[in-house]
Amino acid sequence: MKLTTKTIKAAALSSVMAFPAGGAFAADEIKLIMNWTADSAHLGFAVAEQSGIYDAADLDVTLEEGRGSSVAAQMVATGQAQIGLADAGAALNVASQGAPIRIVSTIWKSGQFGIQTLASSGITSPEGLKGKKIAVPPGSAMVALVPVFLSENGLSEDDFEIVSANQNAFLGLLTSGEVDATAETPENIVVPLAAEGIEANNMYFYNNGVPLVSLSLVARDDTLSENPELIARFIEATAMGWQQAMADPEAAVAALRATFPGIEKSDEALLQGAAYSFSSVCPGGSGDVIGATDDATWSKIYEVMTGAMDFASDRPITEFYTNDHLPATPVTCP
Amino acid sequence: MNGAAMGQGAEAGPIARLLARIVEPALWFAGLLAVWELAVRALEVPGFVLPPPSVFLWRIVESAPVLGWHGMITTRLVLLGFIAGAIPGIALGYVMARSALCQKLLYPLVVLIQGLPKITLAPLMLVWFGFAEGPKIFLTALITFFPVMVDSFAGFRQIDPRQYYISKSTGASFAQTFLRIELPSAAPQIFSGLRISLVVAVTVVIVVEWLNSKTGLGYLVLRAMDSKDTGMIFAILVVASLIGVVLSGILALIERRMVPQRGV
Repeated sequence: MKLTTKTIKAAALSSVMAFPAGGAFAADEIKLIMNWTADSAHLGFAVAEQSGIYDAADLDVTLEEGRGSSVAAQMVATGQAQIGLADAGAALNVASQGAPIRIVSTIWKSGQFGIQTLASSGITSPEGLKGKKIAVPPGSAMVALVPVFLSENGLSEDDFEIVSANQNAFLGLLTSGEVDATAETPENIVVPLAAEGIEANNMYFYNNGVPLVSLSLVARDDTLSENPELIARFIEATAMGWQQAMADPEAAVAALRATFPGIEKSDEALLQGAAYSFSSVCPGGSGDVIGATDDATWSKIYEVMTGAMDFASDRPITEFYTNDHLPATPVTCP
Repeated sequence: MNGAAMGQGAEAGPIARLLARIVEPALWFAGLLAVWELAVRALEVPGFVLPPPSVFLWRIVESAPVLGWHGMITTRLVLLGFIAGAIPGIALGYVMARSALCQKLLYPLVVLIQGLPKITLAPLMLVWFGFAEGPKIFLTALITFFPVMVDSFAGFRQIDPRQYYISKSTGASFAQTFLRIELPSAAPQIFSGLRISLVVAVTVVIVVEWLNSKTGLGYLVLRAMDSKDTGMIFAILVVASLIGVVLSGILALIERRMVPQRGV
């Protein structure tokens, strides 16, 4: 059967309607604090909101733009929002400091972060970074990820120079030759450079020895124990939103713009970003399960984090995530 | 300059004087923009690094409704934070000037608080209170309070003690003494602090909105940065600067009405 927006929506609505509604008239209110301002990382949420998937699941969802993954995780921990969308590394760091939160679903199953270089530099592999300057945003997940990425690819700390700089300066630093590479997402470097007619390459950490998940849904432990069904409904509806977004990216961009009218990026830039975003939601391609990372992968992630990233190993990784609220029938990538 | 020319200058009307005050700086500013425009185009500087003035000036026209709406939100926050900082600043300045004990007890504490990098509280306030408006006003007030307090303190302290003798001898009440002697005497210094605080308030609000808001010019800067829209960032800076200029102008008019002997 050909997967169209209409068929996905029909399936979505019939599926979520099977959930017991929280109330006949009042939908359950739920606030999601996002990792950052709205862009293609949030297409699935916007589609679920605009196409009525959340409504059909009896959810009244508020999508709130955030100010970084750590802040989003902390806002969930302090009860400012029921659900947060945060980079897994940042969320786990907050949780490891005692915040009563855990990851309930992994949206970007492969990390979007990587190393970007100008095509004219000729750097196409991690080995090519030897002796080069790499710009890293201070206080970001990249501070920990870059050394792991380099050591996993046979480079030592003496082989490269880390330049600490705000990510908003990355395009200028890279094009002026002040740095040879940036540690960011391709959406924030490759896409805007392409718009200026400058070709750039990207090397994902995920494909180069750092198998870390990225943007994930985070919830408080007490919410999970008191209202597990609400979280399960939200996760399933969100996965369906992503499924529908992938089936019709143009409609997804329109939904994002309708949800967040202040977006400055052009539709073209959002669509280019969407391609990267979808590849992170479904790194396994068609049939991959949206929002789910299995226990074996989590164990591997834990090994990297405790081994190379100084993450405390006093608690098992199972205390930081749960797959108990994932849909019984997996929502898969189109 | 000969005496006739000086005489002509002195006789120039208020409109001519106003034009002279505006035209010369405007010409300098236009010249600077022209050099900028030519340099950026001649050196082929990419737009995302430094846009030519024509680009961001056109963005102001193009995005006037958005800039206007967010600008109003920022202006409101500036005024609320400024007032919330200025009133306690004047009050505390007065109390410390009139009471040596209060000065001894409070001044070190105020200086200690002033030394804190308070802007770093903005992300924490987001974690504690979400995007609520109160904490943003509080943070702006906390930062703008100090210059007003210090200048008010200096203003109230330098009042000639003989004025108090006159006040006492005429049986003036506390309110009469405050309103007719103390406040007018300290007004020049108080306004000096208010002028500094008002300009600081604009900057603080932009930064606070950047870190912790869903509206306002600071939030627009964040959005523009995310989309690498350098032209929009400069457009916002111009609008923010205009807000500062207009508010400072209004404050100068108020000062001129209240402190006619000094003016600005």
